[in-house]
Amino acid sequence: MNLMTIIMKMAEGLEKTCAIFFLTLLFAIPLGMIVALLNGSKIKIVSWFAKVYISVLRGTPLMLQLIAVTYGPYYLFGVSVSRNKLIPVVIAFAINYAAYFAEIYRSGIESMPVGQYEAAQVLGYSKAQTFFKIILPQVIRRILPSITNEIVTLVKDTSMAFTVSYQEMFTIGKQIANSQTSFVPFIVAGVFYYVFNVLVGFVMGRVEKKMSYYKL
Amino acid sequence: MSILRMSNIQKSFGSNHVLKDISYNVDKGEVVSIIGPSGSGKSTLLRCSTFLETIDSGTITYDDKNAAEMKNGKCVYAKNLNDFRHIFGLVFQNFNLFPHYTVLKNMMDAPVSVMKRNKDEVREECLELLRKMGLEDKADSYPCELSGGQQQRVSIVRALAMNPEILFFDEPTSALDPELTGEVLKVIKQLAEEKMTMVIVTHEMSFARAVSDRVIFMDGGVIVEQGDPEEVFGNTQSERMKQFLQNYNNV
Repeated sequence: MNLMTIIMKMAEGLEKTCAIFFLTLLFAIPLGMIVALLNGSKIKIVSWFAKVYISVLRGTPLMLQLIAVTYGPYYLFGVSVSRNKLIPVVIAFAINYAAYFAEIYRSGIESMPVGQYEAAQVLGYSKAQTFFKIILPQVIRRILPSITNEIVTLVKDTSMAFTVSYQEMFTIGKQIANSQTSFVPFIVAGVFYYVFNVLVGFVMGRVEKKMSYYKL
Repeated sequence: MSILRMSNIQKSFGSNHVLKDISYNVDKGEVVSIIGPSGSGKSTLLRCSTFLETIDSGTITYDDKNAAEMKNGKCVYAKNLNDFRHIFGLVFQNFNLFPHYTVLKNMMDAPVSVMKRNKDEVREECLELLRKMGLEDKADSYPCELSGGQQQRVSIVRALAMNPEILFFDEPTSALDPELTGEVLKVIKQLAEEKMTMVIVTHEMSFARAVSDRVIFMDGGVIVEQGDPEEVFGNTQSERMKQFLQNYNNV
């Protein structure tokens, strides 16, 4: 198998890699916000629930979570493993990344000076208005570098889907490497991920620049 | 007529008894300065007046309506506190402008999104206020592009944009260097001439003396002395006040 064929075959898996990547972000970003808000709740049981959630999902391997979400239903309830593994894979990634995002949001929210809340309160803003109009835009600006970090990690983590044999780019590469006893697919994978992350870095850099029209 | 009446206010932070049975009124058109050493409770009194701190006991009345009152020995706040918040404005020591909004948006956002007023009407009013303050060319600037004095003037006009009946100032010049203090004090003086009702917590003694109708001297959580500024500054009866003013005269 020549290099070109290897690249073409692996590129076929890129679509699935991208599906994991974008769908995870789509679900984990808002889910993380919900967890962060629950974590900050004054109701003990609610914040306790969020803390356990974060603790468990950050404290156990993503690989284990992927296996648990994909095959767990079969072992627990005898439900057959769904053909389309994209669903369990995205669920596992989203709940895992939401835990990390939740902690990033918390750090951002807690770094806000209390004066911003007080100014909003005196001007009569409701709690929701204060959060969405005054606090959140500034929090996003503050946490963007940490978010970029997570996104870069996510790009590489998509390769973890090979543990449940989801046919994304790395899984295909690994199969080729095994059948051809070749190291080339791994180099190709490395280049793919690197280029992907250069793109991520470029886009996030643009976003950061766009948001830095004011100083904090 | 009193716009604000506070009676028998008690406030503690843990075991620290900050306000000990304080009562004071502010009449329409009156300028009241609150002076006193650090830790005397003057800022806490202002924060209680603006609901940023909740009082432990006492009553707070705005326009003859109770915002906080005693019921069965407990202090109860009114349900519609936001209606009361429209009566007053507060200018902070650290400005607390919203950094992600332009000057104009800082002013316009609350009247439009909180009071649901007509946007174009509010814009006209805000631009007029900026013109009055000589800040019209700053309407589209962000707070970070302004000097400290300009930021504080913007935070004053932001409060004025809500058309408050009474304006509170919490050490409005303490975060500014002396050169910038003047421009802020000038604005407050101008408002005093227009008969804006104001309560000013300040360390600027000569300013307090010149601008106020009444001066309140606080120490240790109580009002030690209050009255006409000439009386209080020129002919005080209280030993504590004499001692306090000494510190200013000595420099």
